[in-house]
Amino acid sequence: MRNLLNLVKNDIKFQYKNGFYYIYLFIAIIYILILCFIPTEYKKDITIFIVLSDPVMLGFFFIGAIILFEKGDKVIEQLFVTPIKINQYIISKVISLIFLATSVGMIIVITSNIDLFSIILFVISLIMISTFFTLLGITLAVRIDTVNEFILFSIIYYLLIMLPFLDVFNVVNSYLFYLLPTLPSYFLLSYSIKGTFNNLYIWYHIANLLFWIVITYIWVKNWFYKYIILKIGDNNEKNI
Amino acid sequence: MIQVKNLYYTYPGNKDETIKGINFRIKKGEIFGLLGPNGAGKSTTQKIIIGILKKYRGSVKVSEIDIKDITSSFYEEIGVAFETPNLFNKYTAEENLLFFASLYNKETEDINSLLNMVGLIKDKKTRVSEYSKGMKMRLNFCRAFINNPSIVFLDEPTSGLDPVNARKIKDIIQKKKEEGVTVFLSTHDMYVADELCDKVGFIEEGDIDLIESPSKLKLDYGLKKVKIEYEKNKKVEFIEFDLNSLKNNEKFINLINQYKIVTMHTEEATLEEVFIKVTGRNLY
Repeated sequence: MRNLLNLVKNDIKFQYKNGFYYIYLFIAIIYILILCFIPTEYKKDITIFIVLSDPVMLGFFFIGAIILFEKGDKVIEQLFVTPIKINQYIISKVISLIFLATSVGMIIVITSNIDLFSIILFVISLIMISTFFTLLGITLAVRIDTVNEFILFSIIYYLLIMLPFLDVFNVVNSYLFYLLPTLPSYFLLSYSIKGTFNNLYIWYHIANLLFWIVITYIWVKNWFYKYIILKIGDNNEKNI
Repeated sequence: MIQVKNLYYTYPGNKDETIKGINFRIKKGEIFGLLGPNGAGKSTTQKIIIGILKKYRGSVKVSEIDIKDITSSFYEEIGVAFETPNLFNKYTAEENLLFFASLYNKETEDINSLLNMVGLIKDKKTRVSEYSKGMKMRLNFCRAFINNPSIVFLDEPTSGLDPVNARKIKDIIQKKKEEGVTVFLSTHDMYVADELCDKVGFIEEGDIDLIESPSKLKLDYGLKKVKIEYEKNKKVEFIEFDLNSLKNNEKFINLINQYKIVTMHTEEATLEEVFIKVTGRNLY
């Protein structure tokens, strides 16, 4: 527990020292400014998309950048010859980004004067969405070594993530889209902001996200071992 | 302290074995050097001993504990310094050491004395990104001792250091040995191995061909001769004598009585020459 706490503290310090908070502050201000100019009748709908893109942006893209920076410093491999466990490393990253995503999500709705239907559901949704996308970001980040690779593959990931919105906009309708975590994320935020919901659906969406969080966590652990741990101690000359 | 028996390892997805049945034993307080070129299997062997690579065949025990049974507390007792520095570049040296110290449950070494040991105390508030390669190497090296380990694994510890700092690092390694620390050294630098190691193992294509002390190897594989450089008519000339018959060799006795001796050396082999003879390969 003490190790996890020290890791979280260090992750926050690392993100701060590498300028992530300044970038995020800039993005948050832009979101708030956009919402200021949106007419009241569309404000809640736009807020759903903005708040949804917020943990996606943080979780997915920031975790990629953070791990690339750590890979650049080669510190990841050193961590795993100390008493740190893979679980603690992953959970620490998720906690540091959940904290940021939830805080910024709250700031956006408060400064934009959005009247939330359920603050509890809103916070729970943000935590779950942020956890899922951070884990998804790690699956990509552990495999790649350059920013270019990250950008290329993140576009592919992003397109797949966004695919279920074809159903929301009535382009292609399929129940299969509801099996993926995108629409449950969208609807959970929508219910918490707009308040039109059915309890059964809420439980389905929460269960869906929990399922994907567990699956992605297992995926992350396997790939982390394969692409990070097994390569510990290898240098540029490819020692074996 | 470390016991490796019939160790075999194949990387996932590979057909060929990277480690092919190696055996060695390292006693407490001993400096053991694993000598071999890049790709010989040094890093893989080290990764198995420090518990990173799991699915090996054979037996690996550290302090009588089977590596297959280790928990995270194992890492409280070992220190590792890889060949390339692994440091937070945006942090100062002090911040780096403080963070790594915070990961151990046991009492850790005083950070100032660690930095002092490697001559970085003046630069402790400097960001690592502003350090030279040699400074980063020294910081990386001293971090391996942050948890007062009983075993340290050092990969090319003097790589990229100037002679003065390389001397300093070698002296620290010797001092740690005297304090009872066991040192596992991976290197292809025969001079470092020769100077520091109690025993060296020659690894080539995943197999250890020979384990012996450097001094014995140099004698066993050297020529039993002495080479003498002497001054004759203001010119330096040289001559070689058989070591075994030196006592009764009149030519030798006359030479040392008659001429000014410039140098006199026995012709023992260098570790590199022994390595080439044993494995048929160069170290580089």
